[in-house]
Amino acid sequence: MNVSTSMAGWSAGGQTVSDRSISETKGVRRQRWLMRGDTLSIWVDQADQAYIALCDTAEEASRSNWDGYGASPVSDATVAQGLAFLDLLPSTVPPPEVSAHPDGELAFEWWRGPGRVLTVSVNETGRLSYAAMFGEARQHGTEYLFDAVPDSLFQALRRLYAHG
Amino acid sequence: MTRFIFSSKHFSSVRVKPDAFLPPSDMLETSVFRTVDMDAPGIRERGTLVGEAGGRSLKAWADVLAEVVFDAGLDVRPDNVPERHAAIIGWPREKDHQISLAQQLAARATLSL
Repeated sequence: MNVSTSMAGWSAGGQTVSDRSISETKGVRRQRWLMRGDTLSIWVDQADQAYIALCDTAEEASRSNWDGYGASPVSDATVAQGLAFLDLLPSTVPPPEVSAHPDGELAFEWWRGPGRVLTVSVNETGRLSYAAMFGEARQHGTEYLFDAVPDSLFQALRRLYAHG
Repeated sequence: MTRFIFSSKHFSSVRVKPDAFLPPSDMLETSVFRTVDMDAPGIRERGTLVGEAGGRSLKAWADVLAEVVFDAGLDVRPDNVPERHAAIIGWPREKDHQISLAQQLAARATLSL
């Protein structure tokens, strides 16, 4: 199934991408990003709910006060960081739910049931703010997105999915 | 207390997401309404009016007890502007800590669609 989503003015990593292919290292998912004029088109060979959800979220949160309480819009730079974060997630990681926060950050959430959740938000500088609940246990911290998802987040994901 | 939700991304069919409780960065206060003596139609009507004032349509609402807010280390400041309005205050400035507290509120909140 091919899904095409156009988002004017957005690019990956803050740079214009003319053509970029991501190989089978991400499993059967393959993406091809094309820049045509002012429009970035994302083509996915297989339905990728997280990427589609990011597009939907960015669209909904593109204007000020999108939440009715004065929320800041999600910027193009934040979208680029969010796409980069999804791009770095291995295909073995379950796809997160995507949303936006009132401060304009994009959020990625893995929910395993009541009291078991990991939330990671990203801002336009690539700062990752995360928090996790494992029943009564909790952890939270700050990391930065470089060329790999920080190990602390992988540890939290492993713990989240460790108990079925 | 009731947190009115105007974004479809802040809840699912079965739960309130922590995002729904996060405060805006410029105020660090989460707007809520005291609805303990109101029925569902009345709450829905109030939420619709609140949404209309902000140019948004009511999507859902989350009910959370004051004790849940206190257990998370936050506080409630009623101001009645407008009537029945209050604010969850005491949020830390650190984003990761905010998310953690919002998760605690969401985990014990009840969703109404």
